[in-house]
Amino acid sequence: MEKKSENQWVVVWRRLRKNKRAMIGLYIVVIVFLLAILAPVVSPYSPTKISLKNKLDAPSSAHWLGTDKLGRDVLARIIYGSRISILVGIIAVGISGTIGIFLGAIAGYFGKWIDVFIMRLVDILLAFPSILLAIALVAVLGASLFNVILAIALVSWVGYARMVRGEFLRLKELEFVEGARAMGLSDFKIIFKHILPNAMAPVIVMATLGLAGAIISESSLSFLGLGVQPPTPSWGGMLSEGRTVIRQAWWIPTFPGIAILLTVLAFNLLGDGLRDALDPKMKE
Amino acid sequence: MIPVILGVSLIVFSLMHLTPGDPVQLMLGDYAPAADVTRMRDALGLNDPLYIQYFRFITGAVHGDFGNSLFYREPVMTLINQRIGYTFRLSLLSMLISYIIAFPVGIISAIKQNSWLDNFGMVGALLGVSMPSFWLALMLILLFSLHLGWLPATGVGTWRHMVLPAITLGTSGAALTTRLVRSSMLEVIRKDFIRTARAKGLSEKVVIYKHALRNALIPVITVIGLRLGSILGGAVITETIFARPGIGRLMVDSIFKRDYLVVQGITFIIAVSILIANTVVDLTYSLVDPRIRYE
Repeated sequence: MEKKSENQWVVVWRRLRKNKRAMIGLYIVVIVFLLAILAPVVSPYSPTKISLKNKLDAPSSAHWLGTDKLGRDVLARIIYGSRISILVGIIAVGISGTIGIFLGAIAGYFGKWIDVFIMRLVDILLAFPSILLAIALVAVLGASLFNVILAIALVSWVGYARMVRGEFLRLKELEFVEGARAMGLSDFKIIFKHILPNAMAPVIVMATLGLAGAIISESSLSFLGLGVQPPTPSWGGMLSEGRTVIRQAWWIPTFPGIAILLTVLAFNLLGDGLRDALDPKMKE
Repeated sequence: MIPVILGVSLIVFSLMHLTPGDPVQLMLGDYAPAADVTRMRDALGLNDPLYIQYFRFITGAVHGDFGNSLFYREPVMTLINQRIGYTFRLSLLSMLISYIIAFPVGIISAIKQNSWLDNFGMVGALLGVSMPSFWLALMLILLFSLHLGWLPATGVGTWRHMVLPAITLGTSGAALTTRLVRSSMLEVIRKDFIRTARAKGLSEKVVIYKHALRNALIPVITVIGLRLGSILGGAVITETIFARPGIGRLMVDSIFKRDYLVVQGITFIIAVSILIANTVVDLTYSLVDPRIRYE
């Protein structure tokens, strides 16, 4: 069983490697992760060091992407800002994925009133635009990194729940599940050890695309002033500051946005590639 | 739909009660006199048991009464009514823009699959999906307002004020719909009835536009309701950037003024609008796909 699943992932990796777009996405993702981890090493300046004599300096050899209105290096702030985006993305997707997988699994497996109850909850949450609900949640909970992660996670689990439920509805009718039941295994073991591993492929795709969504949500909240608070650098926060000096300094609202675009694009390319690699029938 | 609306109302009602500490103290500020805080708690009925408060909220919501705004000193519904027209017009135009772009690009991409046109369209769609709308807004302002001076960056009044916000709001929708139209068309044009239509000697135009497109439209129409949600969510940010006096901007302003009743009212109205739109889409579904009527 172990060998088979390993082989499956080798096959997926081989297919993924042949997909140029997915590999470009993967390379960018790796670069962003490395920048986030190695920020203190690769950053040319401190992201919070104020230098008023250098304020609003245009891009130059000293400051490749210019400086902001407090003279802080834009490149350094973008590099450090990647930490917030990646951190929020990973934790929010981790929490929402865990909630969604758990609720989707028990809804699909047990059916009946549990399914009705969970799916009704999903319907209710789907009535809200996710960013609107996240904004409202952060507004009442207070602006902080923790609350941003919580808000994004709480509005994003529904997609995982719907998908996992669908997979469970399909898989629970198959023979291997009947076999597991016949062996007298507990529902818990059947759900998490037998069905769930077979339902994970689409979840991995959704999580990859979800990271892109979480990064956009975090930057949107930070842009509105509801995310990470200054002086901690975040891409959305930098764009918000850039908006106020857009007439004098085009580089401040431009470069952090390119960082968001490239990172989100990379996760989207990787997610699309993973989907094709995991299920070649779905290609096209 | 009723249980879902009740659930929506419960979430919206809970919002104010999620505030860490006393929401009234937060709304009035730390230095508000104790007498004012008590008076406001009484006025909002916050001393009553939660189920009575919820009952009052839901009966008020049914009558369009979400209480009075603390900052504007006007009923929340009046504030929403004054501004919803701006949001409605912007949403409509942005949807129009997204479909005007998405249909031709999606159809051409599908018909000319793997051509340079297809690749170009799909790269554009991927960029559109990945681009944060507020950054696009800033770039549009930088180019068309500040650099070229063609269009106003903020405010309302003429059609020119609508162009940049509508493009901002319509871009991600255009990108998503393009991908959907393409994949839906690709699926349909491989079906037997399309081969039959071609074998009958029909022109390619008739095959594509009369036979394939109508069938490919079905999944696209399904997501119109979902698109409305994204557009209304996006309007919150777009209206703030372009200083448009819609309900999105009212919501952001109210958040910073801690005017929670307005936030509650807008969130409820938007969620119910989306539910109604989804129901209407479900009901009109059979117009596009008559088979559904008999199922």
